[in-house]
Amino acid sequence: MPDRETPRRLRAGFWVATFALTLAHLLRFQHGDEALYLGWLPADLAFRIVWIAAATVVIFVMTSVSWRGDQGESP
Amino acid sequence: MSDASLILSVVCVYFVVVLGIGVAAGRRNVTTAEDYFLAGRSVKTLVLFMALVGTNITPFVLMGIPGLSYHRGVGVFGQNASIIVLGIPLSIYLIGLPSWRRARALGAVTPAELYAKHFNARWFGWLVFTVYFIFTVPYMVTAVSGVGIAVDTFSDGKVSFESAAAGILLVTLLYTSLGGMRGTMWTNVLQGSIFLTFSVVAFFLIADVRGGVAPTMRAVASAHPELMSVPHEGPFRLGPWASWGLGISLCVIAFPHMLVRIFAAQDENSLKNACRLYPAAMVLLWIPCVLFGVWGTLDFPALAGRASDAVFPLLVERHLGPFAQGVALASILAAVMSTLDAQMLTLSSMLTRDVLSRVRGDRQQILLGRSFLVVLAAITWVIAIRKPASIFSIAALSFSGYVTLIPTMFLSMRWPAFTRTAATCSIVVGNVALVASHLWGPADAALLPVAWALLAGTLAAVITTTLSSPRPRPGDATNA
Repeated sequence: MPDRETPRRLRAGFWVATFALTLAHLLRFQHGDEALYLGWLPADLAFRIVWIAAATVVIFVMTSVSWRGDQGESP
Repeated sequence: MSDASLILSVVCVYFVVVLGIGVAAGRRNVTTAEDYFLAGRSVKTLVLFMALVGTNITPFVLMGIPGLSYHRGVGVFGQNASIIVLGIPLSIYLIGLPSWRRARALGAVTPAELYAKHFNARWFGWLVFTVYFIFTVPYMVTAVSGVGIAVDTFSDGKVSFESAAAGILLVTLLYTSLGGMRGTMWTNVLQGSIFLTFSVVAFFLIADVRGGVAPTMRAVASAHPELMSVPHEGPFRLGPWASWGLGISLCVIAFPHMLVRIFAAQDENSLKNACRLYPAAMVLLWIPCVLFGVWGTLDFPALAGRASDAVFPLLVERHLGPFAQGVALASILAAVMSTLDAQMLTLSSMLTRDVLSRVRGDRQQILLGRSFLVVLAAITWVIAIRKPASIFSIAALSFSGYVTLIPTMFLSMRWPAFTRTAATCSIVVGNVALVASHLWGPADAALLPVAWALLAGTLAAVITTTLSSPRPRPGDATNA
């Protein structure tokens, strides 16, 4: 993969990941699961923590790649 | 020393330190309006991050969220916290970054000034100020109400709600007036450190007293299994869930006191780093706050309605000693003051620079700004002592109102064809839709009023832009 293509693909990946996370936020919660993972962690809370970990990676890509590609002056 | 004296001593030490910081900041070359209102646009990563978090976190999180989790369970975390972890940095990137660049290019100090200069129309700044004022005052009321409830709880009613509210406004007024933006940002570092640290420490201390995190969670699961899952009804239905997520993610960048903090950033790296650090701060703060509410059902099973707003101070009072109670009160005060100071300073700067812009000279502007702070504090106190509704309900109204500005904020920075006529239509139509859906919308509507307001405002913006002529470029004519 040529070097020039990498930021472009990462930028596209950032938007796809953002959309996927938003969708997961909307759809995953309706489970009514009262189970406690590891004996203490509610299922929904566990899911949200994993979701936040993924969002943190997306934010890192946003600030490292997309931000750099957005250097244009505002109107 | 009695318990009450120890609690009071801790709070007094906190007040002295905060006032000291305000005085120190005030002595540091506050000669121009830009220096007073924007700290000379020189704020670096750590101070910026703590100022953004400090400004973002209010009693809505420290008291309103435990109060809400008490009734609705752990689903409150997903409903509120996780989506903002992504939403706030994303909105800083999409709206905050171009606004920061534009504000520097135009020399704008306040959000209203930015849009007035961007659209070449002074009256547009007045419109923006009016919307900000209408929705910021209720938000300030939630902060002051949080203090009133906490002090009332920790002092067993010896210090009245009214006195506590007046006290917090007075101290905030003093250091904000003395130190301006630099003072408030420096104090935010201290305040953010206090409430972030204390929420984590209190979480483990309370859990320890109760036998550990796991036994406490199992006890809640046994007594109230419904609090461990996300139900399928009420605010957790797909429509309300999605519209609330939209509202709470977008409103933060629309807070004028957040946007003005962003303007104060020294460079883009500071903004980037603040975005990267945001998720950690949110997790550290929100998980304890949600679980405090859930755990509170074991100790205080009969809190009805907005009485549950006091569940965090009640837990601290029940399980921790007087020193920790003093720190808890100081941390609630810190959360309140770190937002209240920014709100007061921002509204004051917009009034002096945008509404009363005929006042010439930096010294006169600063003097006028300080006078307005007093008036604003008095208005907030008068409304707060009437206790109009729960913290969460008042905050929800404010958040919805701020979101009506989002189409204008985004499109003005990202769409060159976007006109001031379109911006005006968007704000007016968005607010009309918000009020109409609040007044006449069904209680169990598929979408919350904030979603209708955002949809109406966006449609009005896009349709009007396509129909109206291009806006005049800055410099083509003098301000209207």
